[in-house]
Amino acid sequence: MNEPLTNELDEDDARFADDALSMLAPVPPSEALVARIRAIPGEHPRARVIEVVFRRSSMVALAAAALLGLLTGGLVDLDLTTTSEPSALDLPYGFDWTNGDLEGLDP
Amino acid sequence: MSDALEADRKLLARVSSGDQAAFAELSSKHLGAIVTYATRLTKSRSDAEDVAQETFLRAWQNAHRYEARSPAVAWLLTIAHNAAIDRLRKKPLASLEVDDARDRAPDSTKPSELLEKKDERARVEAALDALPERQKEALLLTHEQGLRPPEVAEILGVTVEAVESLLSRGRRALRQALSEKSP
Repeated sequence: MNEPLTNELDEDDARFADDALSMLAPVPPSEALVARIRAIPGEHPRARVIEVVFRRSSMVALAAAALLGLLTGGLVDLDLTTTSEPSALDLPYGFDWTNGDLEGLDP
Repeated sequence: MSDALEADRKLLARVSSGDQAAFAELSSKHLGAIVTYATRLTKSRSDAEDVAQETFLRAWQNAHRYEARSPAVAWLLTIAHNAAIDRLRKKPLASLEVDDARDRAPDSTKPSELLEKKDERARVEAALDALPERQKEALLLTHEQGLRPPEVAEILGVTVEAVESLLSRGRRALRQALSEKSP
């Protein structure tokens, strides 16, 4: 059970510890625990596969979100060009647009 | 590789391929050792059973990681040790209860012998509990679970020399405590 001990006192202590701990009764698992352990393969039939699929689906979701972001950005840009208010590009040169007065401008 | 290690390697290889019969064999072989060790560490039967369940769930999910450097029971005890330590760290100190006396296998049918053994067992348990955690763990893994110092070192995450030192100090302290308390 143990590696060879050089010291005689240590050997004696080791034998004593062996005797002392042999007095401890092993703790048997309850029937409920045995049933819980037995159910593990059924409850987690493809644990590793699920993990891989989850990781892959997370990556797919990230890619989809990035693509959606690009598309949404494009749509926002499109939306800005179709606003009823004139864009900065449509304003006459030197127009002070800090006062917000857009009246009199051609649509 | 020894025959026992080779047998463990084959068994865990079957488990990693999803063989439920192999998993049942693994659990029926080692569940008792895991529950016993977890009970000694957590001092709670229900916590120990949760630790055991977590241990075998992790074993089922990670059987491909077993490298057959040590026996399967040592690998399982490593998982159980870490799960029990995690649980103890998360648990408030006040909620730690000693309820591990339930559901023990009876040692004797004679009341006098039973009482005597219970008394002896209680003294050993008390002496063990009075030791520093690392010494107690090293003693339990060596003298109760029958592991060798290199296997204990791997479980405790220390060197073999450190395990030998823990064992030497732990054994001496245990002997001293039990001698002092002897009637």
